Amino acid sequence: MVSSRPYSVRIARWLARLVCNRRTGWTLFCLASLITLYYQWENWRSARELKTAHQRLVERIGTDDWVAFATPGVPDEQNFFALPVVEQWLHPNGEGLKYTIPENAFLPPGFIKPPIIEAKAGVASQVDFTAWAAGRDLKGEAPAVAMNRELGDGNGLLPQLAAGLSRPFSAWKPVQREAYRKAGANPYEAAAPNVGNVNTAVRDLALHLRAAAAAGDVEKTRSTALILLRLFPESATSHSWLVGSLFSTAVHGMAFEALQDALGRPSWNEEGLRMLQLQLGKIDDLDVMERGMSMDALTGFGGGIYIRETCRKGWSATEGLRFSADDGSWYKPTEGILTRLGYVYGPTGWHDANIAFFVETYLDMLGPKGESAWMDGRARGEALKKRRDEEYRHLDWNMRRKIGALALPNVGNLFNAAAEALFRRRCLIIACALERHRMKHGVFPPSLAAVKDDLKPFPVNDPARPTQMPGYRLEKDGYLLWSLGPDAKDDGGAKDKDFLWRMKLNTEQQ
Amino acid sequence: MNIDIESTLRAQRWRDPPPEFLERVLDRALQNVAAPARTSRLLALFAFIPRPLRLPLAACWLLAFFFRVTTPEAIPQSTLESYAKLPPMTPAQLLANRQQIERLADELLQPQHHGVIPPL
Repeated sequence: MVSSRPYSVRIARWLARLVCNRRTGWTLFCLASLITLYYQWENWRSARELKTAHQRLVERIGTDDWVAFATPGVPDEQNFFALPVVEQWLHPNGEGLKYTIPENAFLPPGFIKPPIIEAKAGVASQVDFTAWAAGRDLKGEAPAVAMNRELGDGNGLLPQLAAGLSRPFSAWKPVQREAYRKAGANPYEAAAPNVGNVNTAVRDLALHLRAAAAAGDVEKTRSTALILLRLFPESATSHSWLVGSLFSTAVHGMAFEALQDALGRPSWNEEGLRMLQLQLGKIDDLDVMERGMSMDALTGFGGGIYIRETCRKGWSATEGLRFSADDGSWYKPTEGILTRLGYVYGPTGWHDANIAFFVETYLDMLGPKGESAWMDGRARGEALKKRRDEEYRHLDWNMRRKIGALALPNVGNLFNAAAEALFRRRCLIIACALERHRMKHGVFPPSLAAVKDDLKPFPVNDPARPTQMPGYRLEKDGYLLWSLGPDAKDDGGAKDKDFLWRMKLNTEQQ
Repeated sequence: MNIDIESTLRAQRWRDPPPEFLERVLDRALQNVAAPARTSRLLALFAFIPRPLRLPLAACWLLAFFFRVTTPEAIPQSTLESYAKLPPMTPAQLLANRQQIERLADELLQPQHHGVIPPL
């Protein structure tokens, strides 16, 4: 007997009976039960990880609120960076602000910059006055004096800046905390200052200093040294963020190089040396780096929490994340979409685990508190690498690590750079004391004990030895200061093993 | 030989048991029956679950319940709410910040300070 029903209906009924039976139902129920169990387990273990990481964050940094952690403002009348001459460089740049320093702002028109002899073995780089003077008719004038005369007062900017040196602070505008508040606490929307042409401006100011010192212009040497330190390096420390810390380390390095060169010239007086010491002693480069990294950890933590709390309200919280590099293969876009779906509909624990991973890894990079903690930076970095290799082998598809890993910057060992900057800063402070001693007694002392009283107000210990000053020994025409460096071994000032700072007195007028 | 082993029993005269005995036995039987009736109704619900799945499913849901109840509050609720109220903080901004830092670190720091912290 042939059924009256159409063939397709019979097939559909057969399929429905095949699928919608009791066994399939129970299979689905078991699967749902297992998924529920996985979600609960994932939430449970990740919440524990996040709780521990959050506690560690608060213990290490002192807060989980980056607005409170941001640097407060200073009144304009106390702010060197709020001088009218600096504010004229300030321009709105979209939602942010930009300080646009005109090109060659500190150099007279048509001035030809001299070549610089590179630094080596701890000796500062120097201006090649001879090369600069070659082919010029200086009419018997010494090259350094001629250059100093040509540079003049930096198009009238140096006296205007020198007039504000009595202001105690130098802080970028807008003030970081205010900028964060205005942006509703979104650190990435906050108006961060952007200083253009800063490298050129610092080098040009440094040239003024080197030329003034070589020419024996005591007053200009003193004021230019202070302007050089305050205008960009000090102001860069006024925003606690990693970009500012990197900027500070770099521009301080440029300023320190010029100061080292200038201190080798007998163009200083007692007052100038003391003011230079006071200015140098205001900042601790390791502290600046730590604050920058701490802020980055805090804002990254906040970003993770924001994604966690808002990802289910729309796609925006995850759509910017490139979960897979587009290599042209057909499955990569699909992989990206599936990953985003996973973060939207998957367990909240995945977000918690990512935030915990980010915070824990960042705090590992940051290390413990303490002045000599930076020395373990390399070991911490290697431990992280090992951990990554062992634990996070399959990072590409590990939903518990992907977002955290994406947010972690690969920046190397920043503390080494900061420690070296701090060592150079302290060498300059010590060099001021030694120069004062030389001015009084005609020679540098045989040991640093002779200038101990002079250095009392300043922390001048070797960054690698919290209880001792850097190594010191007299050399021909100067002296050598050295730090143990990151290996914490005293190699007696050996090149490439210790941090070196060499003073070579240059009394000839060039 | 075909011995009828029940013949002796059959040969005995049947005597009705005494009423006290019947009453006692009946009461006891009624008491015993009442309790299993309630249990079986409960068991009837579980009987719906296939026998091999009963224990694993029970363990699964009990564990899920345990995890649910003992999940700690990682971040205080007030903190979470304040973070959620932030203006859109897109991951693209997070990544742009990371890239800016990496570029600056590469540009500004001398090569000897480019350390071993790996790209994770």
